[in-house]
Amino acid sequence: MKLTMDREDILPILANMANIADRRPIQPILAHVLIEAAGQHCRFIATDQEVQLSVDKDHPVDTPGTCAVPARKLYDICRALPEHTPLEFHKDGEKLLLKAAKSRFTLHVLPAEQFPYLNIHSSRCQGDCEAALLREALAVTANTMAQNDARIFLNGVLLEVQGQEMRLVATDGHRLSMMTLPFANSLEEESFQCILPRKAVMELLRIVNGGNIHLSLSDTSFVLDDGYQQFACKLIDAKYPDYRRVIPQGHPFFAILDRQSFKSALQQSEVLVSDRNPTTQVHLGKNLMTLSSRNEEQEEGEIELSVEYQNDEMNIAFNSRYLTDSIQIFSQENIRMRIKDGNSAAVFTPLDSDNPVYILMPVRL
Amino acid sequence: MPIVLIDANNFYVSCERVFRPDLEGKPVVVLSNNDGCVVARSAEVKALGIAMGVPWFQIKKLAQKEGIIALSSNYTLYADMSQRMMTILSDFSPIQEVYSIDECFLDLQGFAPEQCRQIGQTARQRIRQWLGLPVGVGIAPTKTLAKLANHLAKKQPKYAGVCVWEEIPEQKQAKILQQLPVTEVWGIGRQWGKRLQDIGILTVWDLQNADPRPMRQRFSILMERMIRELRGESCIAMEEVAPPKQEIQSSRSFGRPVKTIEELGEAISLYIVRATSKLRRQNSVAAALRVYIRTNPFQNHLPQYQAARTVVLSQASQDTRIFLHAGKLALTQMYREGFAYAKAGVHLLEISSAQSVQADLFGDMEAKKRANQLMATLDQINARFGRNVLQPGVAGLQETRSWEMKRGNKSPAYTTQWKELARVKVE
Repeated sequence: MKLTMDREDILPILANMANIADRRPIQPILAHVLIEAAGQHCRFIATDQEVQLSVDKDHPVDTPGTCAVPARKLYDICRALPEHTPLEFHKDGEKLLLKAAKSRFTLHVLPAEQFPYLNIHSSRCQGDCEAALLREALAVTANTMAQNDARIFLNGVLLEVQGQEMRLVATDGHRLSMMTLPFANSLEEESFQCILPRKAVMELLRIVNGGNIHLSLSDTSFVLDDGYQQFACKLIDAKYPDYRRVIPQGHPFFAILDRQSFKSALQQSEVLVSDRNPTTQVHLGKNLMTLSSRNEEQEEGEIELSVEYQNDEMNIAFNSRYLTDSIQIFSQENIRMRIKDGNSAAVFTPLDSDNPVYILMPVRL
Repeated sequence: MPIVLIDANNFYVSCERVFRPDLEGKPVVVLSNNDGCVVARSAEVKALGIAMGVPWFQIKKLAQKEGIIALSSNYTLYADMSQRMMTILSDFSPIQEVYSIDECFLDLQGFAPEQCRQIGQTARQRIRQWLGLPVGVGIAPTKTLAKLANHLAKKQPKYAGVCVWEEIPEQKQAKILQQLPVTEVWGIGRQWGKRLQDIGILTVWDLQNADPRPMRQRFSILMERMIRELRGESCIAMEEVAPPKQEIQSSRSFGRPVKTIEELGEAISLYIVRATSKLRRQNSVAAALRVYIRTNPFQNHLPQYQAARTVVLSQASQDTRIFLHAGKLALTQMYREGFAYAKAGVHLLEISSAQSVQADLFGDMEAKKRANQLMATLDQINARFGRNVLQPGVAGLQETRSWEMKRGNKSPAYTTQWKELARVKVE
């Protein structure tokens, strides 16, 4: 195998490959990126057997061939080289020779036949959506996924297809976030559900950009194709809890918050929350919200901000970190916060729509 | 600001002597759980050169020869005596830090050294008269120096149990510090002691005169604080409110080897009952439970096995039943037949305040409320009618629990059980 490529063409690909490849692999090959070169075409693939990324690049090849190269080392070398250096790859036996201007490197390679491609099953549901929207939905839900929870289905994002829409839902049991986006699909059944694991969600946030995206979903695997790269992953084999059951309906009261001033107030109140129990108490009075916090040393903070609120006085307390997430989720200027009482969940939405939604359970004092 | 440290002499032994005046003047030791090691020694035993923590079987012969009286530990008694002592001492200052079962700091801000001495003497007499316990009193501008002064008060008869550091002339102070090994400083253990020795710091005097900045680089900020405290600059604040425990454990060695999963399960259940009741007493919830079992490592001719499992709850709780369920799960996973188990224990982990509990989206609020009420009722009944009056059946009955530890020579619970009150015969 022999090919020459400009540093700027290969560096972003290798960065993504190095992320996917396992840092501490159970098998050596899982720390490698597979390079397949033939004719006018190169393909790069990395997997940790949970997720897999392959990138196609139209590029003339001098001598066709394949080899698996240590992903992280190759990326680190390329990153350290000066901009626009031409890189010459030459596989020689069990070695890869890499020439770049005045530098030369020799890396061990593994035979391509050993490479453990991810098994992908034929899909039950295929369709297209806008990359930017999918990215937004992933960003909204990534915050509220659980981490290392014994309830394995919570350590990921639910993907639900219904009609010509796709809904992403994530919850860690304390809060839930959800966003719906258009998804032109071929589903014959009424609905389809699958759970994307945490690692896949984090990787997708890194690689999904603009344009249009094609998704193929099966009971065990998820494949995303944007024409340039293909991302595949295994799904969490479990049933997601009935999230609709916990979405409060008909909360009687609401407050309208200005996102920027709410953010500023929360940042102030966070300084004096207790480390172990970061709790912010929210008091709502006529057009006025008061946030108060107190730490272990009995220091206290009280921050007032103007809001639109016309209902009865209300006290409700939240984990302040979760409350702060409510402002990360929305990009709109104004947020609507629906409430019922101090023991029921609060529902956050943009002022003029119900998408996305953030539901937060209170802290009981 | 003068700080007072009041510390009971040979606390466990002294507690026993209050109710057994016949032990006065005799060599007495208190042994750890299961009568394993020496955990308290009277002055007479210390004079025989018996070290703290030695296994009882090693000194049994010597003990017979010297007539040493060995008592099993009676923590119910010590805890109650401690509480009485701390309550009496709390009258002397609004700022009190209970530092351990037998010592506390008092802040005597605003009092002159002479007044402090009087207060120290009054406190000492009152503890002696009201409780029958001997205590030593150290008074100094910082906590670290108060610890040293307390040491002097106990060791040197001329201070009559109360040592006020600031009343000692400066030259004399220097002389004292030059004679005290650096390991006498509060917070310097064996490891730091050795490292200090390596750089030529042998006495408290050497440490007091070390340059605090480079010492901080070499050790840690704690070392700089210590040096400054020795120089009379107060760096360690009083901690009035004991922070809630971050980890609660309950474990005991068995009185005899235990082989069956039923008996192990009974023991683990009992420990869970105790630990969760402690958890509720400090108004906390725990989110994980760790259970361990092990054979006796000292009987290495027998097959050895040890294992531990941690069960993470989906939500923090203080409900005994949830932990019992988790404990059973852990035990079934790790139990192996054919071993003679010597010890089991449980730890409650990830403890946080029950005052503010994050509500769960999928949880049943009503069921939780009822569970809390049930646990509160259980605790109230046990508080009123005696510990263990009402407890889950899986923990077994006290009468049939033959695996419980040996406490062959335990004194009665003189101060906490009506049935065991001390009786005085007047003739």
